[in-house]
Amino acid sequence: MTDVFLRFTQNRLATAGLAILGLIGLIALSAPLLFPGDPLRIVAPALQPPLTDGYPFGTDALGRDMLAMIVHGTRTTLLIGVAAATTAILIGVTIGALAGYYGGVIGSLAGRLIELFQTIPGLVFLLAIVSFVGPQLIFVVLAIGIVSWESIARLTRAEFLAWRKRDFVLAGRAMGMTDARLIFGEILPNAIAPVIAVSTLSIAGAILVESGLSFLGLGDPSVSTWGRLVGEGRGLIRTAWYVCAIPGAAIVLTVFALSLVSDGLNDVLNPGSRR
Amino acid sequence: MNAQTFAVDTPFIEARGLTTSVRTKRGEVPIVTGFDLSVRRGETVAIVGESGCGKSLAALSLMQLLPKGRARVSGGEVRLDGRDILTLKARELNALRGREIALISQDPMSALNPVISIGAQLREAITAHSDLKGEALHARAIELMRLVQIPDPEARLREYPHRLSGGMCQRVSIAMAIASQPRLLIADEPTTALDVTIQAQVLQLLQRLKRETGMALLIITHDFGVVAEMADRVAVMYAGRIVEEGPVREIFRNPRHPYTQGLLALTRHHPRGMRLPEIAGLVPAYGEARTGCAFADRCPQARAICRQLTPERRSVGPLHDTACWLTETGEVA
Repeated sequence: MTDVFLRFTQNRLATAGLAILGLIGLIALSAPLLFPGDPLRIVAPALQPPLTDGYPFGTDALGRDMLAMIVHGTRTTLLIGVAAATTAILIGVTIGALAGYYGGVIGSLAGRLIELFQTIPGLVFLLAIVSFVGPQLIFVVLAIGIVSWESIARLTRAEFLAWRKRDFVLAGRAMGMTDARLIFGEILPNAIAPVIAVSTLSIAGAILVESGLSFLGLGDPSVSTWGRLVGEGRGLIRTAWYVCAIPGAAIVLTVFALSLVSDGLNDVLNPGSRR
Repeated sequence: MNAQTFAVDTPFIEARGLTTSVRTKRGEVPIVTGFDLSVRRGETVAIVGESGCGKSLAALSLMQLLPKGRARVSGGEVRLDGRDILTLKARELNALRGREIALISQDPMSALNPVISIGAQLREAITAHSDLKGEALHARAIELMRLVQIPDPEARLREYPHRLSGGMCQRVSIAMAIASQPRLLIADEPTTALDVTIQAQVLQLLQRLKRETGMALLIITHDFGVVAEMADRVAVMYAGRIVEEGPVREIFRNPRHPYTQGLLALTRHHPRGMRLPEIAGLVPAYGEARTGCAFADRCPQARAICRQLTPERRSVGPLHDTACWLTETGEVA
């Protein structure tokens, strides 16, 4: 484990990505300390440009502090990203493991299910789910998970197909281990490395999807995410570009940092360079 | 339970007419056919044959470990202490695997999980059939490591498989296999992947464990040297059938099937400079429609009947039988 970390830090870009993510995480954690009170309250005249006294990012059309909203938006955006990605990983790894481990009926059912979700356009399906069950935060998170587990499942399935033929799996069966024990105790620890790398990326994917949803005004109206800030500013893009651009930049920076970390993890955990 | 009251020579495991088929694009193809073999308590039996003759598949069939959806037992029965294991449910099979029958496989490196420490794997093997915890579990792991003669077990338990040599890995997988004190250990080519000096050590280790625990051994090999050293009885397989079976001494002294004779001729010493002897021809491909004895095309003594009818196994001496038309008419080489 320390070995993996050491090799990871040799990759400068990945380390930079990790540092950016650390900073973003820190901001998210300390948001209530940095900007106590409701970030959505009106504090100043509308549309103050950035670098105005006391409001480094300016104010929006309602006179709310952009910086406070961005900092608090970090919390909700990251929270939604991580929770949605976790949902996707749980579904994807489970179905992928079933599809890869079992032959026969279970295996082909799980395999077909993956293919089915591969053919459904994610955003359209997401809009359908959210407009059906309503835009509460928990539903948004679950819906994003449901539309994005398929790539993780395909990867997990491929890994399981490769590992299940190994002698140690046969040895485990010969010792009387149950399927569950073989899947989680024996194969998953081997299969998980590339899944972790992809999962980092799927946090980025979830953040993007949620931003898209909020931009369209279909996110949870009671929380302010970066995507929603971009969406609210889109009418003002000619007169007050920064209302869109600043939260947009926050999204880009976070997604970029996640990609760097994912790449770095992929290099380090790549089975070809292991051992 | 009634097994205990029976004489020692009642078979512990007995396969009768076992047929194992593999699913291919052209349908199910039987790879092992009419496999009859029994192993008694504490006995060492060897299955010998060329690569691809079905010996590993037969062994996996005995434990119901065939790859799901790709191979299945399509006929016959396997009785373990009188119970037909082919009819058991998954849970009953799991209760029996490891505790009644255990398996060690050919490639010791891939038989261990690369990302789990030796200690964790060994503890997994122990807890598969016991409730040991904490100190007692650790003590049992150390005891098993000592039993397979691994020096400095405390330190080795913390290692990962890639830090151990092939011989060491094989010892660890033997330790894992005997963790629940099985009554039969199936060893599939246990020494093939090891170099010669290590081979001898592993064979000696198996002999000693067998003596100390009283378990039976079923060794699958292509090496008559291993047979001579280890086995009480030997079954020779060719193209999915047992063609000859008998006590090791008897088979070495008086092989009756031309295939056994050919294999044994290969193991004798040969003068330098001469071409190594071989059995002419190739093993027949599976799925070929075939009548008569599978060995007929390569048999130097084949006669007309050999190509028409498949010979049945029949006794040619005490505990010695063979499936060959030549023995029927008394014409033996």
